[in-house]
Amino acid sequence: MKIKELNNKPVWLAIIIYAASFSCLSILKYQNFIYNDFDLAIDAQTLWNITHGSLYSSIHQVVFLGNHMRLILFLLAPFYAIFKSPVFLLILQSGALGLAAYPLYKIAKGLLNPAIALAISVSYLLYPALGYMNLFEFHPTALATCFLMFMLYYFYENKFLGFCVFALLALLCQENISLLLITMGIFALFIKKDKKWAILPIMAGITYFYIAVFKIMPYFSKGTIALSALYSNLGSNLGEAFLTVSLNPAYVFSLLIVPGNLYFLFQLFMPLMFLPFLCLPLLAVSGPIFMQHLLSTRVMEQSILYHYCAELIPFIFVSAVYGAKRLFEILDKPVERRAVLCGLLSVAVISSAHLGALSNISDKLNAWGLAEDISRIRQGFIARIPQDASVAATFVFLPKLSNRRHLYSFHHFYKGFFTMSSKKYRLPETIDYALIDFSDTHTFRDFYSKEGVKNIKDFLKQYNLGVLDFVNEIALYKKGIADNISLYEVLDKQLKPQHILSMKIDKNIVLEGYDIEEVSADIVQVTFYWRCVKNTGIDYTGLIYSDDDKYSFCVSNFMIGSRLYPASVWSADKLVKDTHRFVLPKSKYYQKDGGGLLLVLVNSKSRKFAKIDPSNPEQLTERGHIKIPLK
Amino acid sequence: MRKRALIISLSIIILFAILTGIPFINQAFHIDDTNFLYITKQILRDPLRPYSFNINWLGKEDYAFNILCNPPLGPYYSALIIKVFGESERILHIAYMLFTLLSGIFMYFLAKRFTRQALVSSLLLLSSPAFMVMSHTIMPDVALLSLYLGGISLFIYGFDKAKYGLLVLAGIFMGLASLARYSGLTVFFIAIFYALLQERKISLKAIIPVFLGCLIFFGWCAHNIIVYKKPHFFAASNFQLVTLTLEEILAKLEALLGYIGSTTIFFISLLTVFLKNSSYRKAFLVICTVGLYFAIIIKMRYAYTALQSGIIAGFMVIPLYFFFILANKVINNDKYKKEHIFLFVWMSFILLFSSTIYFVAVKHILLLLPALIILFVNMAEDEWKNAIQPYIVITVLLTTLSGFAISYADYKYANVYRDFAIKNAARYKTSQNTVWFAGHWGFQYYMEKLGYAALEDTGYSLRNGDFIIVPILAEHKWPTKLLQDRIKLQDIYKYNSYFPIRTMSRSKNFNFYTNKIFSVPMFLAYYFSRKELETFAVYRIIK
Repeated sequence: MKIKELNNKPVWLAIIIYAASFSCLSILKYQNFIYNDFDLAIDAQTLWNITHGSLYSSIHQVVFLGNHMRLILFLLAPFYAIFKSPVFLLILQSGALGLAAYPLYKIAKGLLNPAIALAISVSYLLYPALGYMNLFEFHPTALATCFLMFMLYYFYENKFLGFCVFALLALLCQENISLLLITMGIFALFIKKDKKWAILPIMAGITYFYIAVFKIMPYFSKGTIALSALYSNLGSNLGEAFLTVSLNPAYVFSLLIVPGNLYFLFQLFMPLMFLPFLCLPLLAVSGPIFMQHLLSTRVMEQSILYHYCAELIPFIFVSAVYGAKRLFEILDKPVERRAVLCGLLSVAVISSAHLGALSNISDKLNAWGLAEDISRIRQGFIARIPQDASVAATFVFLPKLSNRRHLYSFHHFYKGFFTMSSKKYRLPETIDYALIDFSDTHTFRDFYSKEGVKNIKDFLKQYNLGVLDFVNEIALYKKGIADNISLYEVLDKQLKPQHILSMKIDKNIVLEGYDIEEVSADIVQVTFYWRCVKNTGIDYTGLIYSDDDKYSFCVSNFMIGSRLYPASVWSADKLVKDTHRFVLPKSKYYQKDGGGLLLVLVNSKSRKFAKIDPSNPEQLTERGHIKIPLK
Repeated sequence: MRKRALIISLSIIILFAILTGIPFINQAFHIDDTNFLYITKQILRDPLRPYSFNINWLGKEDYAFNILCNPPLGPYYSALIIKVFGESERILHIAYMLFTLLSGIFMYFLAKRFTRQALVSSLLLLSSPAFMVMSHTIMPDVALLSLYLGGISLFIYGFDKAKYGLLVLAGIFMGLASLARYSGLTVFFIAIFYALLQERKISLKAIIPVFLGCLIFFGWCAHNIIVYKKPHFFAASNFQLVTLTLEEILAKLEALLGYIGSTTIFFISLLTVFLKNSSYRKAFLVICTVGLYFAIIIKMRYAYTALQSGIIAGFMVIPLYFFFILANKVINNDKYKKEHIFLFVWMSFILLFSSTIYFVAVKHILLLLPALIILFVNMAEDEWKNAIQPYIVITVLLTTLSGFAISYADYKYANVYRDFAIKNAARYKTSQNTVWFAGHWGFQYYMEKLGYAALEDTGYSLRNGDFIIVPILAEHKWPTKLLQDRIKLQDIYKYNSYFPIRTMSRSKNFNFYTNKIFSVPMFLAYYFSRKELETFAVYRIIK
């Protein structure tokens, strides 16, 4: 078969491979609690609530339309009622993103030859921003990528009904898509299409944007979520921001031309050899979305690692197709065209391997595999929470707890404020269970609050929560019970640990020793005894490694003294009894009898290893880590 | 007349091989020469148990069977030479010139099957920096190439003319190639592919040599099972079978392309032809865009300077462009199509195979070099037609010049370790103390030969007044944290050379012998620099 006679099979094969692999990766992430933000949980819970007659999103504490106008969730709800799992959303997302390659292929095939069309479609499937988006939670805008691609296909095929249907579907995914409809209408005027191609999108876009952004969303949000805060550099509200953009272009330009934005644009356009710039009018259609992200104060929006490129990708790729067509008017010989084909494919592979989500996927898969032990524990904790209980949890637990009416993200309690808001977090009426991973850096670092320690204590007290179980810094709290395990105790009297160390840490703290006991076959409890020499306001992070001569894994990281009583608040001369439980790795490399654990301490102020002065050098390994033998 | 031409050609090849080897026969043992010498010494002690000894590797005593991952054909040959003539750099390097000669001769016969310029092909192989540098060591890479070429050329002649004697001989060469390095096993795939391409089936002509070769290899595995309870191939694979990320695989492929571009400079001569054609010129610009993109990526990700990134991209663009032209010619032209496909697949197969192993180095392109050179010569014949002679002479001369330049740079670098061990290390030895060293490659060989002790991780044996010598470049494990508290820097020795080429620098990210030290991939085989060749730090134990 000659390359010119290629039918659609190769592109379908590429789509199936893409959708299947990313679905599998997403499921693996889900199974191993790797989704560590709340976007997937928000949409899953919203869908669960819709199927149970409510529009309320307890995580944001608003009707979900107050956050984003994602009416598409109403269309997805019947399917969610059947599948009843966030996994459905993850597979849907991978499928939709893969499927978008098909209209792209059809557009390219119509203008170029099948081989180039296939190369552009493969380039799309290998596109770094696409892979990251696919693996970062679930977002309805990912579905918009597919709808917009079909919309553009029907636009160029001159099929108005198809165009309208997919424009509408895209519009339902998020309110900002309406801006694209407006510019799409203007573009139709520019290329002298029939008036209906311009009037309907412009009118529908303006109306929808106004109603959604200025009426419905504020009505339901009631000031809880302030998206306008993202443009505080342009004005105090959206109106002022629009005014600044219109009246002060020099200032806006200075905001746009910053290294972060340029790098973002490089990552978007270089995988396509800047071909989209050869079709600027179509690329300009996505201008409002580019402005939205490039002017935002939220740096995540200028990164390909998240989902913010979803609405841009269709326009970038279809512009690239038209760019290639223009290029082929100059490079019209077969040799030259083959060079472009090779170039496109090489750049796509280089981009995917060096910048893409799959570049280090094997490392990630290894890490997820190593997380199996802890995933089992996490799953066990979740199984102990009744289906109808009201739960607050840290990020990684949210997706698996999302099929319930009352679910809360713990970071709100810790921070004390709503997300993207200056409004104090409104405490829910009741919390039956709390599932908190105290080693979760997203909660405790990214949402760090000086009031954090107090907020946690208030939270536990307010809802009368007691520790039901505790392993690897994950604490399961239940309402109305006494603590089964005391995470920390402050003692005035001297105690004699089972294993005496008397080790000075940065001259600030003394590790007097530790007790060790086996809780179960693969869980050990280690109780450290710390004595504060002087209070320096510095916290210490402990890293526990397995130690068996050849291979070393990080078993757990923890705040010494726990998040409830960290070293920064200790008083001089007090003895702190600090209890932790660690899951021993079930790896084939780890031999419990032959090894033990290693403790590494990090000074959180200097972010360097703490200087340890042992009373006996044999307490440390040759690398200076503290040995904790299991026997 | 044809016989006379053959004799003249072979004489030129032999003379060329000797002339490119003789100036370097006193080169110090270098890089992995040391490991092969340790196996050689073990063979001299106990010929049936080549890996039954311990070796200090990064501060720990390890069992050689588990960590020395190459088969022992080279060391057996070295053992024979040492047994008969004694152990010295000169003797072993002269003995290893045999493989250089064999490579040149077999390359000549292989090329004869595909091109009229067989002598040129052979000279290009011998003069290419990748080959020339490796031919000055006793690592088995050139031995592997000679056996590999022997296996393939005998196979092709035997297969084409249905001569079973040649096929049996081919099988023996193939089997021996797999015992020179395990990557020699790829020769079977290339032979089978040739047979399939010619006859679209696997006939007895293909089965005989493959079977014989495999028999030799499995014989070696059977020996391992009897002596060591498991095949060495699997023990060694533990080292190779590490998880590679997609980025690591591609970085290796890019490094290999860079090595091809930088150590087979003859491609540049073809640019003079192709850039005259408007379409090929435009195609070149498109491929350069890929290079530019690659340069930007490595500049951003791996902290190369802009100039280095540009040079790396340039080295990568040249083979990419060559492959592109080649593919075009195969698509457009039915002439030599089967032959071109065979050579192209051979080259691509080795390229992809090498990208998936633990690390790559210039030596890994040796196995694809013959196919690449023949394709180049074919293309040169097509493009230059009757005017080929002056172009090809200049090409061979320039390649030889670059081969000598890089070989000389490597020669200067290799000798540093021998020089330091003999002249400077002795200053720290007294009757009461021990002089320790942390460092491998040639440094380890010379230091141990002179009676100095390899540093162990624990450092428990170190006493006040002892010394530790650590070279900065040679692979080593830095004294552990506990040991660092007990040592004080005593002296620093820097070795310089005015010759402006270097084959290794950690700080500048280039290395002829590996693309990977720590986690940063390297893409350059050599670089232009006057930075010191090596620095030795001498520490005194103070408590």
